[in-house]
Amino acid sequence: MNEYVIEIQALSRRFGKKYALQDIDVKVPRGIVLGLVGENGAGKTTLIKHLLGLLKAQTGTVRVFDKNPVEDPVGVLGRIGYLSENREMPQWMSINEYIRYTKAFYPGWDMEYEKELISNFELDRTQLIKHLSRGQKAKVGLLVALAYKPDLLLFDEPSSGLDPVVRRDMLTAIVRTITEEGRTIVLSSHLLDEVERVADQVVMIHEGQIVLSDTLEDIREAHHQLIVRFEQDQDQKPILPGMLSCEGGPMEWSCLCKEKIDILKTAVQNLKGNIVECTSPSLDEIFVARVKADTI
Amino acid sequence: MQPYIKAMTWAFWRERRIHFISFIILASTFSVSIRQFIPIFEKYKSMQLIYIFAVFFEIASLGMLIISAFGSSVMNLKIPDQLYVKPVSSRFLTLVYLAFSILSAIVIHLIAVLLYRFVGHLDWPLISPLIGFISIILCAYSLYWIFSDSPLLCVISITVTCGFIALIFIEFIKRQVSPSYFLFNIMPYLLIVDTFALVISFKAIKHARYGEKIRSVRFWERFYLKLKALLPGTNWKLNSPQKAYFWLLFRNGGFVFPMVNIFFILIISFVSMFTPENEKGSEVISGIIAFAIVNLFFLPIFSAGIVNSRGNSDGLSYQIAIRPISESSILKTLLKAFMANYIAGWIIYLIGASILILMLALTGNLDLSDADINKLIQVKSFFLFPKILIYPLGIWAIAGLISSLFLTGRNLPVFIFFSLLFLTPITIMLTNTFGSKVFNDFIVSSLIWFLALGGFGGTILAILYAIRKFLISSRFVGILIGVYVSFCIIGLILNFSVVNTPANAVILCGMLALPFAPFATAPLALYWNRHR
Repeated sequence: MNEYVIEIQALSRRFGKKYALQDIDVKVPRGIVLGLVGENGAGKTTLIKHLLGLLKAQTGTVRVFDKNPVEDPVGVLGRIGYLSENREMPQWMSINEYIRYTKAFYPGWDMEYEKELISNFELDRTQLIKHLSRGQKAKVGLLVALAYKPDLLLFDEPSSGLDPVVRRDMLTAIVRTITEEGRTIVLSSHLLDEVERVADQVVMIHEGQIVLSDTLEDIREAHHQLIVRFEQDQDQKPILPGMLSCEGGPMEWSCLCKEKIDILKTAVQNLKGNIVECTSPSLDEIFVARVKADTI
Repeated sequence: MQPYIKAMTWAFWRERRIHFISFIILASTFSVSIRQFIPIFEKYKSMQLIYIFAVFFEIASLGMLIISAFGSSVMNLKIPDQLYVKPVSSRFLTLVYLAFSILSAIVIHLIAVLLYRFVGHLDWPLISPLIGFISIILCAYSLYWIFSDSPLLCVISITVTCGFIALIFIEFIKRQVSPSYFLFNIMPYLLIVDTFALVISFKAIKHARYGEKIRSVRFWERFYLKLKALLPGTNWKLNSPQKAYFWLLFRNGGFVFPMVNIFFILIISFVSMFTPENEKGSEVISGIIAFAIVNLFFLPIFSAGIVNSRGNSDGLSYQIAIRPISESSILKTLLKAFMANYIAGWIIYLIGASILILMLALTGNLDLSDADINKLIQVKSFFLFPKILIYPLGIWAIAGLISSLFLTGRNLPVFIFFSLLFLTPITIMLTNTFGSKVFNDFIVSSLIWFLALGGFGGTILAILYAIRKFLISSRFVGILIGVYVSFCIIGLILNFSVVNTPANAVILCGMLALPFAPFATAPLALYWNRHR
């Protein structure tokens, strides 16, 4: 059995003249939560659509469960649970009708789990979808994505526009799914604190290219937020190895760098400065610094 | 012009562009086809059938504009939410959107009229349909807003209103009254209807803007939900993906075709009410025949379009695209849903027609004289049925190609390619069936040649591409080729007296190729749409 659930190699996609994805390489092992982060229009949804086989790779290859989702949609989609940001559902159906409709496609539907989710999410089966609030629609979407216990879950901005209570409910359901053996989750989100809380591995996309791909632990270890104080005023930003952003001045600067701490200490000493504080930056800070950085 | 009006104009046309293009194609086909009937109508002094066709055509254009809005995910009003948050008054929004709709209908109408006049040289009372149009659109819009949460009621009320207004026109045209008579006697009523409709529209849009419903909606909604609970289908056991998808498709648009046919029957009933007793029988039978022809040609197109309309804006709907179901199952289900809609439409039509004939018989109006019967039998259109039914694959060709056309979504070159394929059989079939003089015209015959070869070449290309993509097996293609060659041989032998030149033989073979095109184009379109 292949140890990777998702294998993407040299994937590129162009819409007109603009590249939505460029030379993407991602490998996702079984049983992890992959956080997919990036600003609006970075290419996250396009990447997810390739995994679902809704978009065909123009160059490169996409394999999910060691199969091409375009050539074998039945084999791949039967093992994927997908929740989109738009939550496109037939408005005229009741929740029960929608569940029955979806159930027909998945032989492995778990009735007990369905009942449990209905009860946890406090949903009324007889209600029409068009009468549901945004949060309730998200819960219904999550329910039909989880109830057949798919091997791979693709969440595209699952909690955007939802209040903290619903977000918490959804995260609880996701965490529960993680704990079940062998399941893999791809979570695309703007809410980086949410990703930080559940993800094992993070892929950061900027303008269709991967700018960062590592485990969350390694990312945290590799990045440092330094406050550097100099004895004299500095007219320009100090240049430090692996520096992604630097603000402040003229004597005290706050810099975010991707480099080993020993190397950074030496570099600061060479510039006749002192490291006043060294902290581990949040994913949010790393993301902003990465996006703003002129050179990666 | 204010920039925001420009923006709204652009958005309105842009959102409905596929419907406009489709309707212009329909208008062109209709204009060409109705021309073929004129000598028959003139011969038997039954010109009113042309007007019935014309009214149908106009109502259909209105229907097209309204149905285009049914495709939106938010059923409430056609005005997009982003306009509600702009600093413009509700009254202004109502007026601008009504103006857009009326203008669109007039543009489509004018295109058809120009084409019609170009090929038909018939005097057309242009101004009265336009005035009527405005009334119909105003009424339909306001009714649409009132019943925006109850699509079924919306369709019924609009159909009845349109039928009522159409009746005024038929009456106006049949009596051949002067424009001044129309202005003084009928216009005031239409103006009252318009004013009433406009007031309702203002009220409706104001309520909709603030997320409220007009009180009557709640009543109708409850009524509709109660009625819906009685309908079959709600307790189906969905144990297969195909069944589930069929249910989704049929429940989405299945009611439209029976409604179209109820509308036909209503028109015939209204017309017969104003017909003298001695002509009532032949009038009703003529109407039934005329609308049966309309059904035969247009129902496949509408049903194919509506079955697929949910997914034509951005590929297939997520509800099916992300499910583990093969393309061939999707295609089979689409076809089944289309056939179910088509058959449901015909059943309703036949029930309605039978009731009408029964009523005629009961009231003693079916007492047709020998002359009447001879007149009916000799009408060339009467024999059109068996003639067209000889080519059952013709209907499959039209429906399949239109399905493909709708499935292509935003792919404009493919859309144009399939449109050409679609126009070919209609043009050739009509020209051949009626043996029109235009067939001898050099430019027209060159165009037909071009279309015939385009259809032939296009079919071969589509099949080759589908084989290359492994969408259809080479064994299946072998069977298709065998059947096609047999068709050509039988067609050439049976039509030897007509197909006496190589040119005619090529045209016949080109025409016979078209029913085979959907076998390749529909899987291709589906494949492109699911995996863009």
